[in-house]
Amino acid sequence: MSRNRTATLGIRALPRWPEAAKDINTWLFLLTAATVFYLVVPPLFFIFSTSLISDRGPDAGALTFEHYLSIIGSLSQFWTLIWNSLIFSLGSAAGALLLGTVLAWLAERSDAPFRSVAYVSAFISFGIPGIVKVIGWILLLGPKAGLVNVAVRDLTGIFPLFNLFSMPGMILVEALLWAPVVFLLMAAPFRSLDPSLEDAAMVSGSNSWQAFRRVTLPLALPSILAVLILTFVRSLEAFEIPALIGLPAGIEVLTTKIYLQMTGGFLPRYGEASAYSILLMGLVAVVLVFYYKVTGKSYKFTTVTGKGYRPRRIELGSWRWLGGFLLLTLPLVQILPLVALIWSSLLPYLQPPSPEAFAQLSFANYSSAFRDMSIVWAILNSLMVSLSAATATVLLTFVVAWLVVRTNISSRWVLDQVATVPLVFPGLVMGVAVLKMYLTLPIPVYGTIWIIVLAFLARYLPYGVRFSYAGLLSIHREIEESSATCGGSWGQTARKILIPLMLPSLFAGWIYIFLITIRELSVALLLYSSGSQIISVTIWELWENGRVGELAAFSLVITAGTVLLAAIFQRLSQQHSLQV
Amino acid sequence: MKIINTAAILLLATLGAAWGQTGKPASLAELARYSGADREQILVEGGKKEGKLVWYTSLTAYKEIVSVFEAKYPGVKVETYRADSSALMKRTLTEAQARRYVVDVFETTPPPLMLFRDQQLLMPYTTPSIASFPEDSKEDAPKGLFYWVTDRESFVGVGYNKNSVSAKDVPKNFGDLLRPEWKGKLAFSGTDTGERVIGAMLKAKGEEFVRKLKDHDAKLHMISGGALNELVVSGEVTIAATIFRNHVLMAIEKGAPVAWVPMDLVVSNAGGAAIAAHAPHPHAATLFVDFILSPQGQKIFEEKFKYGTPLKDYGFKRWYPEKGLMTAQYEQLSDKWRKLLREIGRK
Repeated sequence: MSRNRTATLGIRALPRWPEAAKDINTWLFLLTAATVFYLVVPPLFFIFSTSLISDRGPDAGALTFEHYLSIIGSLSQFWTLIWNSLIFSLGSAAGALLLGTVLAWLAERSDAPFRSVAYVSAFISFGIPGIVKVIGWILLLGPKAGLVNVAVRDLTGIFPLFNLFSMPGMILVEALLWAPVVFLLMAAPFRSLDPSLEDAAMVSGSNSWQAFRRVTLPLALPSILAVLILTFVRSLEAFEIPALIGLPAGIEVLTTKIYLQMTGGFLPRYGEASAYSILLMGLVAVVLVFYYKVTGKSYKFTTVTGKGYRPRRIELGSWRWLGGFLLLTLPLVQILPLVALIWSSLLPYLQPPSPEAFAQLSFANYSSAFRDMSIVWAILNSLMVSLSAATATVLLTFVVAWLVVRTNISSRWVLDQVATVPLVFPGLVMGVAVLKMYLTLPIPVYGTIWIIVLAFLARYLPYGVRFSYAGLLSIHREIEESSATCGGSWGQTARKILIPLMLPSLFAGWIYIFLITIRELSVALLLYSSGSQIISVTIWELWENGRVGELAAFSLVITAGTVLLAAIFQRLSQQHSLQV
Repeated sequence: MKIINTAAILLLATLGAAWGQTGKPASLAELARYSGADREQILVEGGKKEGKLVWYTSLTAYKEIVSVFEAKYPGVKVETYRADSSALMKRTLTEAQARRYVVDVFETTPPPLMLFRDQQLLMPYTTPSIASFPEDSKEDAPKGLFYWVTDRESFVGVGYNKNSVSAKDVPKNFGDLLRPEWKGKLAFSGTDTGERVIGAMLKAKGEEFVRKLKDHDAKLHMISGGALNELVVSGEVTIAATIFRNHVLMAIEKGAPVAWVPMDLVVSNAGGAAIAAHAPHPHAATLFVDFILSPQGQKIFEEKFKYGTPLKDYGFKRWYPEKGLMTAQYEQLSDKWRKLLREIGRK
């Protein structure tokens, strides 16, 4: 009977996971859900209740909608704000996605030169604090004294060539900020793509471009959409670039309007900040529902199957050098602001290149940035925090992603939603929530680095989840099923097949979280203590003080160190990953 | 068990009270107001037994102060939490709500200190050098004591790049900033420093003047005064109305082409030193505040970091925006200033 059924269903039949494994899945699901809920729900509850409780005046403590009303009321130029926000977010998301995806394809699927350079520069980009990069861009493209603008004026008389303080300037910098993330997220699905599909397209008479457009791109669609959601929501929520580059140009977006209103006053306005993030959560939920609709039948899009094949790079022929040139744009846009930084790190004060400036070059900023021992402790603490946070996040989100993508547990979407929610937690409110939580709970992490690790783990769950999806969506479940058929347990399957196959994307997620937590500030600033100082606080101190030279020197050394570490870890991960 | 505990506490309390009657100050409240000649000796002995103190500050020059203090009083370690005044306030209030008393000494700007005062988180004190501080720099508490004393001031005025502004054009007052040559060139920091400068302009020139800045195409930079000064140094910003005197003096020492001029009213960002009401290390806490306010501590602020001290006249009119206001009043005012500032920057 059963043979009969399999025969009629043919290749579409999905073999059932053995009953015992189903039990394990349920337990695993419960355990994972409990962990994710523990991390996310208390801050979420705090944000939700703060958004509904009056925090000042005679009615303090009473239930109110005033925070929501105040947000809506403050949007006096509502349409301008929405319009600006949409242009900015769509522009940056599209720019980052286009650049990142094309570069990832070139690096993984083509024979263009400079492929490894692109990887190194992606890591470099995460090592540099965002604020430092923005300063670099202002030094380069500022309309009055930007190095590039001044150089072009001296050569051609055109001035200024590009005014950074404008909407195109905002989009440019934000897109370049996210392009390396997209690059790493997209590299994984492209790497594990079954080339026989592209071969089939070529045999049927397509050229490389058509194969890319008609076969590769649609296959990578679920991963692309996952990445698009991430970049769009992040740009919608971005604050640094709109504030630093948009406001001097008089351009306001939703975040600058609302965030400034709630962080501006000297008393913290948690209420409005929380109400705003609740509204953003609603938006993200809508986007996610749409995403499920598109990727619901994810097996359609899987690119690594159990069939044996050897990966082969597409020959670009005469286009090869164009590809190489494109790949160089990634390091170029990272190196340009770095050059401005190196320049300022060697000078006593900021100035354009001139004979006098060259006479003043010295390493004084480097020695004064590292003059005391507390810096060494800060570096060690930061390493400990970021290593633990990155490892814990990746392990947890791998399991979350596997449960969501692979099992049929009916409430698995809740897990995904909950793990995605921290994407819109405002950093400062999250910091207060975590602070409150561990001042109340009898868990002895207050005043240690572990409270920061726990906060980071919650805050970067959404990123870990996206990186895991990117890897997992491209691996066909038949590989796992063959393992189960051969008697492999869930643990064995995960350890011997899934993790090695996914290691490149897990590693990309790990390195991303590692590097981004090294310089995270808004949560850490509230949670660190005398014994647990970390380097992002040091960087921020130098910046607030306007000590740009020392800041540049310190950031450059830290960047060099983290990139070196990243390179070592990548080498390790390559040695242990499964070559398919 | 509970009864035994209560009895033990009662016994200890009685013993403590008996010891207090011998004349030696023992509790934090007694230590903070004690003015006997042996104050320093008592504090040093007690401080060494306590071994350390915890200091919450928004001061950037904290490391130097700590190292001089620790060298002077070996055996008393200072553990520092350094954050901007807003993070410092959030952290302190959250800890106080949970009744987790960690902090001994505060050194920060008046807005958080006002709030701490209102919530009974500060211990009124006096200090040996108190007589040399002018009235304006002390926040009065009952019984001739003080909630905080200003230990450093930074003055906000106009900073400009000397390569792009010639000596004869330098503005001398707020009115000069509206001259046509500054159209589109004048920058403001969008932080609370900018708000307070707007407050000074309102007070000196009225609202009409402030609104004219919008047509004057003034630029709003969402960065701190210190960072904005770097843009003036590099030449990207020609002239800015929210520049700190100490930052400019430090930059001039390195040879940067910048200068600072005071306007009609000079906003003073005053930092005050205060003792936490529930300080777990009372001797060390009081000793540290005494040190910050001592001539030796004041000298470090002024000479090494170019801060102003309340002990000196610098030849311009200082203005303390929050002086004499309740927290809620100041919040209302700063909201108004912020709205005006944002309005100026909007195109």
